[in-house]
Amino acid sequence: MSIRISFLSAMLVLSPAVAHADCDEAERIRISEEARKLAAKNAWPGVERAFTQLLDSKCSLTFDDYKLGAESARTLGKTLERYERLQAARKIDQRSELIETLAAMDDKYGRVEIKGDPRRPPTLTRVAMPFAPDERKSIEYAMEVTAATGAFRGMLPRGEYAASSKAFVVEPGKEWQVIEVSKSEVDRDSDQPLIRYVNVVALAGPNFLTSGEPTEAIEFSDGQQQFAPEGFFSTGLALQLGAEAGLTYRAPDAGLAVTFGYSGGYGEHTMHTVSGWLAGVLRPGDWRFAAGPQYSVISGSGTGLASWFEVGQDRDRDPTDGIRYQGVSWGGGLAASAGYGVLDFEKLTGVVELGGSWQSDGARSYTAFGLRVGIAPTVPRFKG
Amino acid sequence: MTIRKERPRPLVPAALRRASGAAIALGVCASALAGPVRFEGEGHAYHPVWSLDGKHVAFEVNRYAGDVDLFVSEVNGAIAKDASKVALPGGSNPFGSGQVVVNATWHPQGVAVFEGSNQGGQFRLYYVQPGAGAAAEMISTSQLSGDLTFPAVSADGATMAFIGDATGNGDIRTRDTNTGSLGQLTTTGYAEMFPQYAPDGTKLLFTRKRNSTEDVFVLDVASEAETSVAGGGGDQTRPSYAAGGKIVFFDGARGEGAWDLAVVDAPGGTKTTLARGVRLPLRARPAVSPDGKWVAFAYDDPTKADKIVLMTVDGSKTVDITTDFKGCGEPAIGMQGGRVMLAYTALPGSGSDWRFLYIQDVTDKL
Repeated sequence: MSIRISFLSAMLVLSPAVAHADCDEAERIRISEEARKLAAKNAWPGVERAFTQLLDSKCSLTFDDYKLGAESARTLGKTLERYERLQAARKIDQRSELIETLAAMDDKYGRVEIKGDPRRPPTLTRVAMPFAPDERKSIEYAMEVTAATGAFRGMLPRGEYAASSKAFVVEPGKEWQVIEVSKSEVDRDSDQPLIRYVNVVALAGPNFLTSGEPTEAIEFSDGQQQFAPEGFFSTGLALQLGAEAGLTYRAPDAGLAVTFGYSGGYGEHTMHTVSGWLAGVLRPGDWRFAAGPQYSVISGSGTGLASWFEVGQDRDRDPTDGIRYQGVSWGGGLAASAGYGVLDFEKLTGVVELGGSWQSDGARSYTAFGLRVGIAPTVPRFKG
Repeated sequence: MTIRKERPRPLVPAALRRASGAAIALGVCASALAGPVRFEGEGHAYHPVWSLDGKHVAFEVNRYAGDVDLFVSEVNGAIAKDASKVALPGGSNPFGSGQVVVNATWHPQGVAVFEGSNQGGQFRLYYVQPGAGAAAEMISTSQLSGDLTFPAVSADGATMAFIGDATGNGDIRTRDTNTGSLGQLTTTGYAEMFPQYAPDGTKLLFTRKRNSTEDVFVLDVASEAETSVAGGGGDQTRPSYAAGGKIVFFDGARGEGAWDLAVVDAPGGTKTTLARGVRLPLRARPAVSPDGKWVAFAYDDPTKADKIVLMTVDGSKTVDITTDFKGCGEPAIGMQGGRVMLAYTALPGSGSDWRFLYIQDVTDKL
């Protein structure tokens, strides 16, 4: 499990000046030291994680930080990142070794952007792999990224390649070579499944329900007035359980969610609502937005009728706000939510959501909202 | 196998040696045909190894203070740029003092592979591309644990052989360049050493230490069948392929630290001694030229220690490269754009100093 703090920290950061003030230098030194120890053990994925933490630390990194980050990128095959980190190091100290290394990289590597369909990703191949493990790793990393995302933007060693049936040659230099691979150039065997992911959605939290009093009297077909409750606001609980399926492979990731829920408001006016919600879902980054139609059945009871209620009773003896009612209502509406992932549980993400709904039974409308916490599927993204 | 260690001798004034001691102390001037290789720091230079295109030479520097450094110099003609020390990965000094970086070999793509070890730690294989940054580990511990030594790359660069001791005293392992997969060719309880591919890559020479003596074998890579190349009394070590399938090696059959340069026409063939009493390099094989026709060596006899000898591998022709130095040894022959380049180490003709590396164009002498 990992905790995402970027959103929370982002909320605290108001400006770059504030961000710089937020630098915890002691923490930066601790992470740098940890990275160096990991490097001495050849534990490069750990070094890369530490370097990412350093980048997120809002601190100014040192020459050695960037150099070590470049080394970890090299070991993991992230050659463009290596180049950029070396350039950052060079801005701090123009050591000849860095200038030579950058020149050598420009001499050995070319910049390539492969654009393919993520639903049918091209397969990157190279006829003869280079001997040097960092060049080999660079190609293997590009292969991995292309297979996972259908695209790649980075540096590759000079040589002959193919993206599925499209052959191309990487020449060294700083010019970007764009390789567009259409679906027809990729074998159908590469097709990714229609449903990218599917998993449980479960949310719970406080619920706030309000319904205004209808402005006009509601009557049955025989002319009798309904025992409609007065306007009310009640609090209670909301629960949702269902599933979400991802249907796209391009950003922003989109899918569908079907959930069944119970929400209640208790007190003077007690409402029990059971609803079904079909929502379109967008999952940009760590966010989760859902919106769609909802259909609900509300069972309500309470004391206090609408002010217009008049069946000839003595209003002094039987004031409308003292008359009990009980009944069932149903109708359609809309629901929407906006949430943010705060915890990673591999295939599931812990989310905090602000949700709301509106529905009408034809005579009056009901509005509910509340803050919910729970789990939603983790979008399987290539993290590199 | 005997490794001869040379002790530092009384030194000329430090001011004369300074950073790139050898050339300055000797007053040697570089010319288009000959020149020293300068390097930062001081120590005895050993074991030069030419890249396949002759444009780089890697060599070791040993101060006998517990650490051995590897340097690489870019060479144009006999003019060598100041050599760069190979930095091991993980920042400025992750290995601490006492690092040993030795036994370089070259891949056709211009990559040097070598052994590296921290203080008292395991030897692992590293690689470096001249001018392309620090060295990096060739094979991770998760892929193969233990000491990894004696890297040897096939002529086409498709395979690398090396010795790994994860499952014994030292077995021959391989790494496929295209797939990156590792293989194993021997599984004996003895120590195998000095692997070298035949030019066509189908055979692999190596030595095996058994019953306290070292013998030379050849292994068919496909069938893994072994054939004895040279054995008998004393050590037969550091075999190297030469033209016509001949195999040149150092022969210690006479014992008492005496080494001869010997050759066999084929595995199991009659041994012919090319030269008696040769100086055994610290780590190098016989210095066979890239075309396999010549072998370079130096004599152990101090009266002959001012020259490097070039001899055809059939023994029919000999060329002496006479120098103004003493203690000549550790020769290596490279080919640079059709020119034959000789690298060797030597001590100054007078006084004492660190052993330095010298490069000489010997094309016109052959």
